[in-house]
Amino acid sequence: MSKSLVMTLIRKDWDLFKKAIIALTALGFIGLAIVVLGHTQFTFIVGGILLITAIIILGCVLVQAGIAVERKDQSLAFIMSMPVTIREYTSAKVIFCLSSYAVVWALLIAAATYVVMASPIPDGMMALFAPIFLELPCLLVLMMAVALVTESTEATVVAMTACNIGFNFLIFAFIRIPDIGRQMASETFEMTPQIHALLGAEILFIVVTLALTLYLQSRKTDFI
Amino acid sequence: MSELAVKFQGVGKDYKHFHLRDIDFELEEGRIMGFVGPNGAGKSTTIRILLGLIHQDRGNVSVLGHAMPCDQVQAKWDIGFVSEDMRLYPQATLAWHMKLMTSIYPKWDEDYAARLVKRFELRPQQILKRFSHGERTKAVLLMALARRPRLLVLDEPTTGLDPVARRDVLHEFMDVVTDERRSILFSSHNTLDVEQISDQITFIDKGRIIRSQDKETFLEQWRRVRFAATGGFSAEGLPGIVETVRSGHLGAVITDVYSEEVVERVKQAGADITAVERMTLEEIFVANVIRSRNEVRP
Repeated sequence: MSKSLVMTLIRKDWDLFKKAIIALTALGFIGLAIVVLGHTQFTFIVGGILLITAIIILGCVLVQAGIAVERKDQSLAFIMSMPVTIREYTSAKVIFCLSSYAVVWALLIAAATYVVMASPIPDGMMALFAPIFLELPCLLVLMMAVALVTESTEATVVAMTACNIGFNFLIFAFIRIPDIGRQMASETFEMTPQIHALLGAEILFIVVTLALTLYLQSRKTDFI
Repeated sequence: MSELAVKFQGVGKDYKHFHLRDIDFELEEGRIMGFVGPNGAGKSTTIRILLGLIHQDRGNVSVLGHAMPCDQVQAKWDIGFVSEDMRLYPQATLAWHMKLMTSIYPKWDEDYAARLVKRFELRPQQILKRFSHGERTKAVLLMALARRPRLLVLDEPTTGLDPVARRDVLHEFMDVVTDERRSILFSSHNTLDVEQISDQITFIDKGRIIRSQDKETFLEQWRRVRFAATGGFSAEGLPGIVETVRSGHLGAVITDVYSEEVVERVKQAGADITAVERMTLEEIFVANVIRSRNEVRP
């Protein structure tokens, strides 16, 4: 595999999407600022929604514009006319999506965690926020897998819609987990085995989905 | 003997509703092959197999000495590919694309790229979204040409271009093969373009190669012999006759092995020859397709 070509493809995507990535990062920080400066339940909800929305939209932009639209707009044929294989193309896409998302996600989540721990918001809320925060990259990986493997804009849109609806359902499901529900009003946060297992399951989902994506892509014999 | 730029040997690919069967052809270095077929004949599938983007189910493909699809990366360093449905990034400028190519291809020829920008009247600082269809096609061509490939693979590159743009583009193709090591595979259903620039022609229909020959041989061997004859005349069974058309006492036979002898045979069968006409590549192509379909039909 040509590392320099993969890097060139990653730089190419960064060039094309840096404005959107920077704008969405700024939107996330605006959400955090509203939480920090507002001090009311209303501003906490508005700021929190803005932060989560910014991260979700970032995932959608990376997957939809970076993968699905590239194929729909027929720019993919241009890229594949270059000396790259399907494997190199897939690696470049996965690395770009994951790394750019991870940087923004880590930045915003670290800031959000600090805000929760330093503010009057009960620390026990982290029992809910931690799996929610980790749920976001799970959704990105799932959307990315659908876009790459199915090569269909329609399937990608369906996956995005399902992920966004599923995201809210999962929040309700998390609240019903005893170790999370019990801690939400608590002033302290305890990392229980149940929460560990939940976070572990989310990490496993990311790893398995990524491995499956790379495996299915490597088996493809028809690409364009 | 010249080296081969492309060699297909018994290549096949099966889809649910389409089969590419026993594709055999060779393109020598320094030559231009016109790859002609109706829509859905299998031209694009063949080209994508050539580029390693689709893996053949059967047969061997060699491009510039590399086995495809396994050695596609090595081969693609020396292939310039342009397809009618290929687009550059609409949100980026032409200059951005040229910079991208410079970072990938060590052989990228900046002077040539600049000359092409001028000749094609393109605006490097404009985003591709604002380009007309013709300009977009020229921009894609620029990307393929300025990397100085040994093999240029063109899939319907002149579709949708106005006559002036088409002339510019064809002119550039001709320039490419002034270097005798460069070759072009030019797929099109526009036989006029193919006739202008190709020196070798391959016809494909319904997933099968129906004929592959030198252009000059095609044009020399095919003739339409017009005649006048009474009702008793029939060209059926005459050797070398591909097709017969009658309208009252007038008619024409098409032959793919033209010689004075064929004309003599038509005369001896009872017809008065009124004209012997050369055929255009389009007419030869259509006659080939009809003959092939009649042969395949049970």
